[in-house]
Order: sequence, then C-alpha cells, then structure tokens
Amino acid sequence: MRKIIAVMLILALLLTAAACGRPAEEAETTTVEPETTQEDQTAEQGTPFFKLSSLPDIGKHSSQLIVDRWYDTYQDHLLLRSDYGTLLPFIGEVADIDASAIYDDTTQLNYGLMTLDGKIVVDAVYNYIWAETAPDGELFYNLETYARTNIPEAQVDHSNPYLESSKRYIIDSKGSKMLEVPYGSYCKFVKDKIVMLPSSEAVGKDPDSIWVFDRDFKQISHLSCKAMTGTNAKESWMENTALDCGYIVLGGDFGCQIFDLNGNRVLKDEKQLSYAWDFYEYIILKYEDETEKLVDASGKNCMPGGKVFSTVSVCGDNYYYNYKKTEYFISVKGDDGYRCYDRFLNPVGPLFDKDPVIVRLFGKMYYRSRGPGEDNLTYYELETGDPLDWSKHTTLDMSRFDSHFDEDYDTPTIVGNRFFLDEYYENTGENRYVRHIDLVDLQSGETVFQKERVDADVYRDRWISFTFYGRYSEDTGYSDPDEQSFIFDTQTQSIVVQEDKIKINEVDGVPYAGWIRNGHSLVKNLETQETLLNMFISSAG
Amino acid sequence: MKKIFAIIMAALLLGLSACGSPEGTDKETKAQETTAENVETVPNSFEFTVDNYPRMGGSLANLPLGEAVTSTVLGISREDANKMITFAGSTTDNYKAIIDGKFDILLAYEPSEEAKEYIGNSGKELEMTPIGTDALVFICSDKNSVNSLTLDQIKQIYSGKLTNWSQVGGKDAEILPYQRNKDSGSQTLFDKLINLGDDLMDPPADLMVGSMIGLLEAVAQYDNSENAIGYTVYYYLTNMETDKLQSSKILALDGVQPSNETIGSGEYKLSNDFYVVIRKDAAEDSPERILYNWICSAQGKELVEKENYVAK
Repeated sequence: MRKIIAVMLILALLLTAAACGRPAEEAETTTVEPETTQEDQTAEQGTPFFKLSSLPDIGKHSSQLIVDRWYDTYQDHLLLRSDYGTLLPFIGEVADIDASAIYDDTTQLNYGLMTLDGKIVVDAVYNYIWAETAPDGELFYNLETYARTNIPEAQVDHSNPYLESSKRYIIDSKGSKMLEVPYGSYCKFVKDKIVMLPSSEAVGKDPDSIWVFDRDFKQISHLSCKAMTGTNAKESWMENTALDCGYIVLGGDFGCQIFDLNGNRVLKDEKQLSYAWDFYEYIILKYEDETEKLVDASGKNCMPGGKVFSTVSVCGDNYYYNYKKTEYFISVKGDDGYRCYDRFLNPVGPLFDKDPVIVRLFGKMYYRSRGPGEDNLTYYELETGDPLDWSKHTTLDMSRFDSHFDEDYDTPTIVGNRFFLDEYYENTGENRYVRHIDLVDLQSGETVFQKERVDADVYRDRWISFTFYGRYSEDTGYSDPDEQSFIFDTQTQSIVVQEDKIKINEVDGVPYAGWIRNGHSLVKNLETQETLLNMFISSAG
Repeated sequence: MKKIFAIIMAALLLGLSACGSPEGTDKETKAQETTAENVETVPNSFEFTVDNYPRMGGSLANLPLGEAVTSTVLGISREDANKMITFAGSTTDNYKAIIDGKFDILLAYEPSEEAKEYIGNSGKELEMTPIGTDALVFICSDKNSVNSLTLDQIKQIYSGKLTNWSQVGGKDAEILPYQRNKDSGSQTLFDKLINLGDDLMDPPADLMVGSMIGLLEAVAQYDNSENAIGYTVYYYLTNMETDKLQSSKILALDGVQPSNETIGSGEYKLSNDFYVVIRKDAAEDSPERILYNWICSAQGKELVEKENYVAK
C-alpha cells in the first residue's frame, strides 16, 4: 500500500511540475487566438495581459429610463394649477456654457420641476431652484433664470450681464401661485407674510419701497422708507434678522426706527444702531455705543434684569448651522454673572460665571464647563444640573468627543443619537485651513471614516450628505472638487448615493436626492429608495 | 483510502502553489486566486479588481461599450459597471481629464482642435487606437417630406445659402439648422466632415443646443420641429435614443442610408473612428495599459461588435 501511495505521490508531483514548470510563454500559446494580437506580443515579452476564455453574456445596454410627463410635450414655463400636488426640483440639463464673460465655470446645471410621483411639469428652464420654508413650515420655491447658456458674445451686456436677462419667481410648492421678484431684491418669509425689499440693483423697482404680500401673493401693503424715516431704503435699510419676528428695522443718520409690517412705528431712537436680530417675538438691538435693548411689539424694553449680552448657540440632533431648528436661549449678563432665559423670558439653568454654551445631546439640553485643572469638558443637564453620564451613551472616550471643541465656541453634532460628526481644521500654511470631518460611531467608539476638504449637512437626523470642496487651485482661485460626494444613512449605516453632484431637497419631511450619472438625471426618495426619475440629459458627445 | 486521496490532493495543491512564476509577484499570485470562471489563469495573466480598475471616461455614445468592457472584465453587472465609469461632459473635457490625470483610459471620439491644443500645451502624449467607426447623421422631423440630401446641399444649408426646404424638394418652409456647441464630439465631427470653415453660419442662440439629447428633442419634439434639421452620431441615435426616431428620421446622404454595413464599407461617406486612449507614459504593467491592450485585441473587437458598433 505504501508503495502505491508513494508512486501516486510521485506521479502527482511530476504532473504538477509538468503543468507549471515554465511560465508565460508556453502556457499562453495554448490559450490565445491563432492570429497575433497585442496580448500575444505583450505576453511574449513577459508583460502582464488580460484575456478571457470567452466573452460572458452581460445583456444589452439599458438606459432604464423612468420619465413621465404631466404634459405631452416640452414645457418651457410653469402653468399654474392646483392639482399637481407637491412639486420637486430636478436637474434636467447639464449645459455647456459659451459665455465666459458671465461664468467662471464652464458647466451649468439647469433645473425643472416634477411631481412627487415623477411627472415632469416644467422642463429644465431654470438656472437655479432653491427651496425656502416659511416659519410655519410651508414650503416655497425660488425659481431663477439668469443669463441663458450659449449667449452670443454680441448679446452679452458686459456692464451688467445678470440684470438684463434675469428673472426670479417665488412659487408655492404645489405650483398653484407665483410671485415675480425683481432680480437683486431681498425677500423674506415673515410669519404669514412675505416681505420684499428691492435692492439698489433691482430692475424697474423703486429702492425706496418695501412691499408686503400675503401667502396668496396678494400685495397687502407698500411702504415708503422715505415717508417713514425721511430717507430712502438704500440708506436706511438694515440688513438684520429682526424681520423674522415681523419688524422692519431702519437705521441711519436719523438714528433707529422700527416698524411693523403695516408701517406702524414701534420704536424711534436717536441712537445709532449697529445691528438688530430677533429672539422669538422680541427684537434685540445693539447700539454703536455698545448698549443693548430687548424690545417687544410695543417697543417696550423687556430685558430681564440686566444687559443683553448675546444669543446662545444651541445645537444637536438635526442641527447644523441653523440654531432656529431647535430650542434656543439668550444669556443676559448681570452684576452677578450670566443667566439664560427661554423664549418666554423665564430663567433656565444656573447662574454662569461666563457666557454659557448650551448643547442638545441625546434629546436633552446641556450646558458645559471645564472645572479648574480639568482636561475634559463636562456636560450638565440644563434643567437639573446633573452631569451627563457619558458611559450610558457611548464607549467613546470623552476626550475624543470634545478634543476639538473650545469651551467657548464649537459644539458637537450627533446624528441619530449614535454618530458623532467630529469636525476640525488643519492649517495647511499661508493661513489656509482645511476642514476635516471624522464620522465616529458612538456605540462602538470606532471612527467609521475620515474625510478632508468636506462639508456636511444633516437631513432628518438620519442622512448625512458629505460634499467635497476639493483642493484649492492657485490658478483659478477656487477649490475644485476632486472627489465624489456621498450620502451616508446612519440608520442602515451605508452609503446610499455616491456621485459628483448631489442635490437634496426636503419636501413634506422627506429628503429627495438628485444627481447626474453618465448623462442621466436621477431623483430618488431617500426614505423609500424609490427612483422617481431617470432621464437622459447628457451634454456629452 | 479517502485519506490517501486527500494526501495526493494536498500534494497537488502544494505543488501548484509552489510553481507560480519565477518572479512570484503579487499580481501573479492574485491571478492564480481568481474566481472568475472565464479568466485565463496562466502566468502573467492579470486580474482586474474594483480597486485596480482604471478610471474610465469617454464620449456618451461610447457609454454602452465602456459599460460592457467594465462589466466583462470585472465580472459585474452592467448596472454596477455603469456606476464605476464616467461618460459625461464634452469630448473635449474628456481629453483634458485624461491629460490632467483624472481619467486613466478613454473610449472617445476624435479630439477637437481645442483638445488637441490642450494636449499639445500639456507636454504630455496620448496613445490612441481606433477601435470602431461611427458616422455623422442628419435628422429631421418625420413629417418632413425630404428623405435625402446631398453633401453639397448640407454644406449650403449650414452656410446659409439654402434657407427653404422647397429648395431641396420639400415644402415651402424656412429651414431651421440646429448646431451643437463647439467642444462637443458631434460638432468636432461636423467640423471635420462637413468642413465649412469660415462659411459655417453663426447660429442664433435658440438654434444652438448644448447636448445631444437637446438637439434630438429640438428636432423631434419642439413645436417648430417640422422645419428643423440637426445632426448627431449614428450609434447614439439608433442604439441609445431610439424613441426619438418615432418622430424624426435619419436623412440619406447622396442616396445612401446610414447603417452598420454602409458605415463599415465606407459607402456612407460621413464616417469617423472612435478610439481607446491612454497616456503614452502608462507603464507596460499598468492596469490601463493592460486594459488598452485587451480592448485592442481580437476579444476586444468581438466585444465592440457584440455591442452593435462597427468594429475596426
């Protein structure tokens, strides 16, 4: 038996050696086509090559189009009607631009509007569409057309190329009503109204005027700055956020005056104003002499106890650069320290020895401080003063969590109570800072990925879109995208879309992503993953 | 006895794993490990993976080919292959991108003059091999009674000398000649094959279309499409946008209708090659060079034909 085994082993080894003894040359001659092809030549030279024994069946190219239309033919403008349902912008054209006098870039994405079940209502006739949400949550779209693509050189007004051909409209999200806005005007949704303030550049509009419209776009008042203050809007209009609470603040040599949206004067002050902003129903006024006021609708100073020092930044959950998405506070400096007040001017939390930072973490509001000699910040619940039990929420070391946060400034962003967006900056020299973002899983304590030159936006406390802004180019003065953007779903912990240009619109609480891939425009409902549009639009070829 | 066979098989495997190639490089080891059934597993054969696959770009009309190459080589679905390649942007942009190192390999139509200048100024060289032939075709509405034009008539239409369809056998209506943007592949073909030079009329802004699909829609769908004429490439229209042929038609040229046969034989005159392109300094063992060589091989040609292109 042993002999048999020995013979079989020797035979096996000999057979093996015969099969592999000589490399490339002889082995290849048995597999390549009889005619001399490039891989024959390269193989003979000993260079790597690729060859299949046969071509597999991969099926036919399919554009897999999903295109439906409300109207039978191309639609170059919005026909107002009430039965579309909510509309959604989509990228409908990637135009090559031959108007370098107007643009630095050479491509322009143009947009159309479609219904939520994928029917195109207007083709890609708008150069830009952006959504705007009124304070009560109603969605509107700004539709803008400016210098159309491929304008012949002779027709380009180099002195002011935008104004000649630019149009801007505001529509309700259902496409049932429209308001034309002079280009360059400032428009703001204020409570249940829309305030329009033409800028000095606006075409055909008197910069002295302030228009107020209701939600049906009916004009309800037309105010004259000159009549109200003795000077025109260009000089007296204050770029401030006090409009959010329904007041027009005009400042200038005459001092400061505040009006409601009906033109009734609320306050008249001789002092020069630096700026003004809102705090729920109140206006915070900061004068050039550094004094401050907190006034209500009657102009009465309501400042609780002392001087208004500043609003307090609040973040957390789905917060990202917009503190008004969540609860926020003001802190007021008194003789004994700082105290926070809520929207009803009720005091909250303890007395602070410096301007506090309040953060929303894991669904609760916390303030933070660093004790004497302590390396880490400690978070205390605003209502109870209890310290945050970090270990209940994460295995991540506390120092990793707040290592990039200055005690007085940046605040952390946690998405879905689980993923921590750790943002920090690296100085690359010449005072140029590169933003880094690490996505850290608080449950495992592991860093999911690290990206640089990237911005992040959070949708519905679940999806994070990362947008790369690329390397700064000394030649162009711009940062050119050199990597793809992507959307990370914190619930499924996966990248759901990864493309060059991703546009997200949140409609009726649902985020929709639109992007371009190989000449196709796609629109997907991120929640259901349903593709609503897959349309051929390429500029290639 | 089972044990004996096990020992023999182990010996065989040991022998196989030991013999590899003299150099014993990682790539060769990978090739031995490949799981794709139809990949040649001989020494020096290269295995493409998602990680080493070259960044591929190209002209839109070559998208099905790029998809097929990627799907075939990687053993993935066409849908997944589509996500790995980028066939967008103008042909000029694609040539700029390979020079700038944003692409490793192109499947593209001929570079425009602007692209050639860019390549020249870069100090870099490209290596390109024609792998197939396509054709410039002229299209008009299916309601138009004209079915064929001569090359001379086309030249006169686009130089503004023939302005009414009645002058070429159609009804009394103004000819609306659409053009493409300068850096498009279609326009490069038009400039080369129609060769009007300075005689090419300046198109009004509304008769200049920034995309192939835009041009097809202009001719096939717009209200005034009945009087329009435009051009595109044959493969794109007949393989990728066939629905546009429901309301438009391809004009014969000098009585010859374009088809794979007439384009391949040269009977249809306005034909032109498309290419596989890499940077000339690509190393012999670089994935892009290996892929380039494969696309140029008999098997690559077979794939080009399988995708319904006219192979070289």
